[in-house]
Amino acid sequence: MTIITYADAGPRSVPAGRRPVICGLGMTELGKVYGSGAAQFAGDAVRLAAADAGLALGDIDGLLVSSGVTGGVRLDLQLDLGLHDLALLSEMQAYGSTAAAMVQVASMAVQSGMAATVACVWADAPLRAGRDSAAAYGAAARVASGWRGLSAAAGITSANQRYAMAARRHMERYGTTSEQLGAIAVAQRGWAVLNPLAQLRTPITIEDYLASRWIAEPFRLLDCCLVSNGGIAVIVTSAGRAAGLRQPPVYVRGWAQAHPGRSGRRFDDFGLVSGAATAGPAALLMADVELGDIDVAELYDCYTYTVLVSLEDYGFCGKGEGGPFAASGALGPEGKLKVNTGGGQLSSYYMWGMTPLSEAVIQARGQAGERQVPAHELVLVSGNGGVLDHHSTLVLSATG
Amino acid sequence: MTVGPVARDATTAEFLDGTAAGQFLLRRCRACGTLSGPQAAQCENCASTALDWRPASGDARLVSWTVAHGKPDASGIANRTVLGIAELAEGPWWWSQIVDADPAQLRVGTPLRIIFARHDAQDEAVPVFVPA
Repeated sequence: MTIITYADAGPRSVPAGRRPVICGLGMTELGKVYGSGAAQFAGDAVRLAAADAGLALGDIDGLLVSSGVTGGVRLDLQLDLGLHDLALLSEMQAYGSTAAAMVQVASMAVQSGMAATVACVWADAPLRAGRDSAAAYGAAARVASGWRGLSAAAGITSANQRYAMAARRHMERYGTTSEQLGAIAVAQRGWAVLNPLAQLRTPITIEDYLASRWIAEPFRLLDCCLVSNGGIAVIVTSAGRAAGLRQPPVYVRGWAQAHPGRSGRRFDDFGLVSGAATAGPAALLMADVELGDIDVAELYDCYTYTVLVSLEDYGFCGKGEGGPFAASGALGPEGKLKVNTGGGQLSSYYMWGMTPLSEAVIQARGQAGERQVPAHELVLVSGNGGVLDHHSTLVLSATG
Repeated sequence: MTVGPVARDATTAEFLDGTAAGQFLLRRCRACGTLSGPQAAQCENCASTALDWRPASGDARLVSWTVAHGKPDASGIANRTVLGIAELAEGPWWWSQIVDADPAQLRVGTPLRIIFARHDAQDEAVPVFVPA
């Protein structure tokens, strides 16, 4: 794919006061939280984000909504929130890449003057009391007809299985091992221990990882993300408007998406390369920074493997070297590369693309407490959706 | 082997007529001759929508696989299913179950054959793979 991002047409090209910033972050209680549907979580998240920013709900003139497997966050969230005369309203869906994609659309709207203050919200409520997380996602996956139905009839019913085949292909091609995948799970749990928002805060060892039960080989339980209920919202406005608000602004400095559109036939690089390989360089170009300038990377981690392939595709290590890189101790709180500093979806909370985005905002603001990374000027956010089908990247910065 | 039931719809009817007759049908482009997957609405090479059905040879090679572990059944017997992506000799990939396979023996490139399985005698025939 050719990168057509213009280095001189991103946020750096407009007057400083018009550059897009994230000024508010709202997070509901996350995890095994019952009694609310996705729309209620979404409304709560937007109210929390407005309060966090020091804005009234009436200051919002743009709203982008999205939801997970249970759906339910729709355009009528506008009415739930009593928002009148919006200049921008849409539902977006590109799976795990949506959260960063919403920030991109909001940023373009703000930069162009189409809207002044845009709330971006994602929520889901797949968990029900007394029912396990596999049932929560399995029910949504059941299909009885069509091509998907044919796959399901053959036994292919879950993202776990599809990503497992991606990971297996990487292992066979590059020699990636279970222990190397496990190093990612262990490193991220190390971060989660420091994160009061995390659902899983007990440290784990590589032995714990290897002893966890098989889900879909090569994935064990500890290769797989959590399932969580809840909602997260961010509010995007201009640097000029953010100046008088409550929180330090987080600048949206560069962005890109990549949707490979896999051929599903001979020469398909499924499992070997993700959209990060093109979205990453494009976002860095717009931000006018180098990969080596990135202080913190928040990478979509539906599975350990997704982190591994993303590390390679962004260029934090060479192609095929993700395994040895992870096993070298490069990740985790003591590692040289600060990745998934809240514990990610593996250990903290599973809010699709809002998981890396929310932790990125917290780190860029310098509000991460015990887990705060001392150097947090530039934070890379990576979203991934489908089975490596959809990709979005943001480059955030703590100063303009 | 265990496959589930599947209802035919407008997009899968002709393909399932093929599986009922023991054939895995591909889409052959009248313009360029390329063989696309059965779900293709246009030629995967030239985008022509003038497509005929053409039986695949049934030969394939393994691209990747997983052993999916489900909940044990009521008597505690492990529920394991081998699933894989195979590249048909004609080029398209197909994702399905691999039956009668020892997962420890599977490798990238392992030769496979397409066979057909039914949930019940009256159900649609579902293509699955078996080591060749």
